[in-house]
Amino acid sequence: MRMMETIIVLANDPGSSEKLYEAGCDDVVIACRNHSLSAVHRSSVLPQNSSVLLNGYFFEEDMEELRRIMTELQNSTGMIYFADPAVIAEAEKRGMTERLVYKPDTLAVSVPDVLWWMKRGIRSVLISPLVTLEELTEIGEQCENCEAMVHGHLLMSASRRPLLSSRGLACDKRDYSLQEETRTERYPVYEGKEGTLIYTDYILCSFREICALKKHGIHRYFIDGSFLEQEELCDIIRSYRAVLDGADPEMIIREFTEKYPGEPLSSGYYEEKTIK
Amino acid sequence: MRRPELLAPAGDLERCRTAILYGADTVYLGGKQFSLRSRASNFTMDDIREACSFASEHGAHIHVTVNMIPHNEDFEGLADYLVQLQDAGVSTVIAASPAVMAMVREYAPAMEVHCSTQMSITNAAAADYLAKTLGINRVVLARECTMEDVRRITASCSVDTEAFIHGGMCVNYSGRCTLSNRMTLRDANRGGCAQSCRWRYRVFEGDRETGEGPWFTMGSRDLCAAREIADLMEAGVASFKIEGRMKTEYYVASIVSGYRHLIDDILENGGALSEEKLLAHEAEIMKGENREVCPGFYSGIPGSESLIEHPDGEASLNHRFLGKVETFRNGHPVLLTRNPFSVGDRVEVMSPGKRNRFFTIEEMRDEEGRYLERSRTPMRLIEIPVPFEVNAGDMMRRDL
Repeated sequence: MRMMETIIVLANDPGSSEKLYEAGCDDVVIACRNHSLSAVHRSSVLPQNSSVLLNGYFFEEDMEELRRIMTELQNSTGMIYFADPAVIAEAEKRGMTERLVYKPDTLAVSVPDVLWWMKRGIRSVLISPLVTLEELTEIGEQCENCEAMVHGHLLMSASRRPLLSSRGLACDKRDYSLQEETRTERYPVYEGKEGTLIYTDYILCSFREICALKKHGIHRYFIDGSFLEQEELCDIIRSYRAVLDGADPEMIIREFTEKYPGEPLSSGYYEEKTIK
Repeated sequence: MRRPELLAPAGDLERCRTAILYGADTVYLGGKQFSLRSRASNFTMDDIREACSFASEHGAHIHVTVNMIPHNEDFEGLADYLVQLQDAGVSTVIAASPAVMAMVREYAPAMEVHCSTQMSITNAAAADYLAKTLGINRVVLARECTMEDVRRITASCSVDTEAFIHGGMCVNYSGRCTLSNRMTLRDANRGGCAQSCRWRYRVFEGDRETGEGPWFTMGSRDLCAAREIADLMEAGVASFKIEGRMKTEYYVASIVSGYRHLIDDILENGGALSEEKLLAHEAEIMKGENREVCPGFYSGIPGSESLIEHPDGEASLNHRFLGKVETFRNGHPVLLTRNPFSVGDRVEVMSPGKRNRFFTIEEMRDEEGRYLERSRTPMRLIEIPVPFEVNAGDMMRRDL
């Protein structure tokens, strides 16, 4: 059976899903305010027709809120991206397990772990971008329905601590960056109510690799819109759609980099294997 | 009040023995493979067998960390390894990957499975879910839990809880930090963490440097929960974990001994200690510490006071440790020296299972029998008469 290629976008502006759909994405993910760990644009309104990012860690004091959110989401239709096992526990009680996508950012890096989560009856697992292209395609071949992060700044760290405001810097601002004293790269850093996030300086780009993912059984592609402008995000979606429809990826890269010459596009860990 | 397990780290056999002799109920350690802390010396399978044997003789237990977040290649040989651990007498595997936990259940069912803090468990429902689906026996709580979180999770959770009480703290959620991966290509979740959070950073707002302080560092001060021990015991936490598989033997002895006495004192006193006693215990624990400490999240979400100001936050290195009794000469203990000391110095002797004792150095002699006024060089064998009985393995430190 031929699988439908699905482009999923974590919205950089929760109010502009329409433009992302028009650009060619199949699903928009809206980050749930206070309960999404890996997002810098969040909404207090839960989406009815699109997916929701709910991958924060729930502390005991948040459990009532989790139950309220899950009850409200029973009436919606989208996927629920999660990391905390408490979410799947609540979803099971409500018969919503098949709407879940496990997105722990760093923990899904092997076939056995992806399979373990898939056996829980969830829809998909978003594989960590920390794996090489070879590892990713191996997972794709052996695990049906898994999802790959294909584009965006990668989350490097998540802290519960208010690392910026505790130093007198502002909360909820998206133009801070960190530069290590011996390096030139700048890492976007953001503090929200859930804590502090640091992202890679580069933007993972998979124009060249997406067809290999498709060939090896990965048909769900996740684009993280954090720190990206709306117009660029729409162009990214159009570019992937074009490559998936047969356009030459090298031509797409040329066109894209001509329009966005300063963008630090990277192949991330695809060809760079980390050492132990 | 439940008597908690005191769980100590060990980077090698010597530190494992020391931890047990100084009061640890259980020691956790890593093998050569499958464990985080790849730079800790780590144990061969023979070492693990010997550790289990020593632990068994002393009524203690051994837990082994299989807590890396494994990639495909890391599963190679894992099933055999788990069987060997079980056969060696290991009581528990600490794991962070559900697939690894499931393999322990399948291949080595006599061992318990404890869910590592790398899974960042912050509520009872999450722990219950893993207990239901994987049969885990215990959950190591995320270090981000406040005391209230610990109380509430422990009260309603279907499995035992374990909480950190002392040692290094990740500034980020454990298992969710890849600073090291990006900056050094060393995989933080497979034992390669370069502690990039402790480096120095400049902060920019747009293109403008904010000028916020001289440097921005993220490294957390170490945890010291001496003041929270009674509350953690009251909450019913099953196990108190000390971090530090890369720490020295002296550190292990000091910290384990300090918490052993504190826990026992609380139990003997029905759960509460006077401020005076608590201060004394705290001071005792801090004798072995050489880094800045804080109560972590137990007193709420920490602010900048919990962060190290310098990446080399160990500037005030602890030079109190004088050495360990190696042997005897002329009826006197012979110390393998670590830091300088002089005749006239007041010395504290740490002996396993005993309250610390004190004396003043009246004289000392070197390997050739020459009398010295001062020992300046580490790793010398210096004979020191002590006015009470000491044993090989006892440690001496300066009493300030």
